Amino acid sequence: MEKSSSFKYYTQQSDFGFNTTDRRLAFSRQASFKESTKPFLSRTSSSIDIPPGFSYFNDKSFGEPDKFSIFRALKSMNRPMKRLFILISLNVAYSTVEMAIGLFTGRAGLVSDAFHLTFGCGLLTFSMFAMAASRQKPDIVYTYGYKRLEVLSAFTNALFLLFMSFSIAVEALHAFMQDESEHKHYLIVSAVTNLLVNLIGVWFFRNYARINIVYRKAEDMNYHSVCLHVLADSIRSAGLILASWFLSLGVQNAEVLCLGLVSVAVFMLVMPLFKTTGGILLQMAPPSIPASALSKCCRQVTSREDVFEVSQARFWALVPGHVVGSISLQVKEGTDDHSILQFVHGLYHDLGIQDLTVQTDY
Amino acid sequence: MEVQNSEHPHIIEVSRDASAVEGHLAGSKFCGTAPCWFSDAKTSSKEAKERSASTWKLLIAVVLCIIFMSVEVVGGIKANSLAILTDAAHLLSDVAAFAISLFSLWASGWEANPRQSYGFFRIEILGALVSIQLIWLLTGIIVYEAIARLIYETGEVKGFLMFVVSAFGLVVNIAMAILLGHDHGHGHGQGHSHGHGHRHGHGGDDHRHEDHDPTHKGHKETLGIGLGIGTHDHNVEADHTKPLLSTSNSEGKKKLKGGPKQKKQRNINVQGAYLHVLGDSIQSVGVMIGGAIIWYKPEWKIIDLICTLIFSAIVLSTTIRMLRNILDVLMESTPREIDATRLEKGLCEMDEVVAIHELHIWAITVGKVLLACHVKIKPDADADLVLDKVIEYIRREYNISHVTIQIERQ
Repeated sequence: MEKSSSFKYYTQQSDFGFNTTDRRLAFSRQASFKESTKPFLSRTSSSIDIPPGFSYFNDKSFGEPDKFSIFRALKSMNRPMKRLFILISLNVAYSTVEMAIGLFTGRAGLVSDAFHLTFGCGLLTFSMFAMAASRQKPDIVYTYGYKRLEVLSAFTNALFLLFMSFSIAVEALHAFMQDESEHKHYLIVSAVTNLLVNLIGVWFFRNYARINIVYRKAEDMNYHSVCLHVLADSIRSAGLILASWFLSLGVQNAEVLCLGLVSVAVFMLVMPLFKTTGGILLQMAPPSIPASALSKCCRQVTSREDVFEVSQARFWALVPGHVVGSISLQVKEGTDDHSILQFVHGLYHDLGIQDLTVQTDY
Repeated sequence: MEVQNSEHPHIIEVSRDASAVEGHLAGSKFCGTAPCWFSDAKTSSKEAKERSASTWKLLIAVVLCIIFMSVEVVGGIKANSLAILTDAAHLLSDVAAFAISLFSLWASGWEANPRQSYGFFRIEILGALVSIQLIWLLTGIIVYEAIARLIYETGEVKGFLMFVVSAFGLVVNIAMAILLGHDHGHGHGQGHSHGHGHRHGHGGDDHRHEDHDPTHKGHKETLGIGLGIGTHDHNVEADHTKPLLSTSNSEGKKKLKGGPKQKKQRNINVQGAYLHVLGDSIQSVGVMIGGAIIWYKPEWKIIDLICTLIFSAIVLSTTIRMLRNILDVLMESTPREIDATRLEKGLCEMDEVVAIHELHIWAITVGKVLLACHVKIKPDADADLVLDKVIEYIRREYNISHVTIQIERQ
């Protein structure tokens, strides 16, 4: 089934360009063990050989999309999803308790903290929903499948973190101007608990606890964004604790300093993820494929005798690891299109571009 | 000769046999004679005109906002009223939303380069997404503030002040809504047009927090916009890719021009800004109502919270439609106006075509659609002819000019 269906499904696991000793890939040592036993480029047949009588929309497998239910996807959770679920429930429990205590004792800080946590929980829930929903098979409306949801959720997470960094900066400014700073003290207990909960989250996703990661699959982005989210939260709690401690030591403007530091730290943490997800959503040329490789391919194609020129070569990444492209060739009259197509497809496939549409004009 | 040189600067061209290429109408297979939004992002006159019109609108809106905001800040400091200052903060968030829209408008006109081979049109969509996230964030903050206010029982709630300040904010927002919604062609009857059958929720922008936390950011905008935008969105979405078919405009006021119409579609960024402003207005209505009730009966403070919740829900529901459009584009899904099954059937009905597979139709931004597919033809058919036929069919029926067709023989 995999081989006989449309072009895109026969190689899902192809790696390109990175040898396994690349340090940046170290994070996935455990997860991708089974993948590393596959051949580097597993391609079993030419991409343009399709058995006769196959039609995209008439094929039964695409005819009725199998009943996809979020609940069924949630039942068969993989490990990161399970961990995310635990994280979310911990957060929800903690924020409910905090909100209840805050309401009873009438403390503003606790209620606002609880709200902030609830926002974060909502975001994590969206991430989890994206993980579950992105498993759906492509259908007629979403012809490329649902994997983009993971990139979207990573983008939303990054955006929220940027907002958070901005709001912490505003808080710092506020503290700077207001000059009354005793209200931080009773938040110590809540800050410590917050820190502990978030550190548990960081531990769960420790593989992704770095700023610049090479993304190989769509889920990588999602997991990375979740990890950065809990990391940023823990930095914020740590900052609050530090500020309280400095205040008790009598340091002037401790709050402003700490909050400012936290804001800058979160911003720097999130920016690379934001830029990468933004790049994918903007249909930018995939950063994993260097421009020199692409132009080399172009030259190789044009160096063939029957090809006059190559135009409109456009490539974009659907999700990290899945690159789609389209290219237009001007060929001599009477060329055998099959050989040309096979050549071009093979050439670009070696770069990692699985979905390619080649238009040959005579 | 070098036919495509000026059009596609990112192409690597090696033109071997000039004489063979010369007689060949290569250009017609690419963008054709219709203005190509791909390559002439800056120079296409229609695009440029629309873009400059939208830019002017947003610029004027930003300037107005800043003026009002400074007036309010000065007045608030003089009168020592927190309510007015918080309204000024609210206007500041308006400015932020407009700034995002302006930036998106400006950025989407940048020329394509090899790294961004499709141009920068997607920036509009991302900017609109950021705008909407801002709306949601602000609504959340408003709800939190309302709950916090309720808890703290600050005592005196000046209903009168609430009413007045929110009325002022409402007037400002109505002015901006008119500015942003007004199309000079006026075929559309978009925006503020009266009697359209949708509620014109230009209530007042009420400032709910009279004597409250000054760090409260203005979050009103979120509510109002959706109402008006909802029905308008419906119009603009239905229009844009049916040039020859009479566009079914539910509002019915649109001037139907014959021939391929470049619809009078409001730019998505202006739409987003409009959404903000309208949402503000709806929130203002809510605050005005709350203020009036509290002014009348000062002990019903809970009305404040109830009003907030209701109107926040309204605002969120209005952003949903736009969010759905944005999501559709970002997920690379088939645009709603195009029926992929019908297209595939139509193509299969052609004589030489055996099968179609890998059909992908997706949009760069609302209104700019691309198509890619593999067409399997009979072994003895003329590939060039079939290619021409297919491209012509798609362009004629669905007005998609940027297609890439891979012809395979069986």
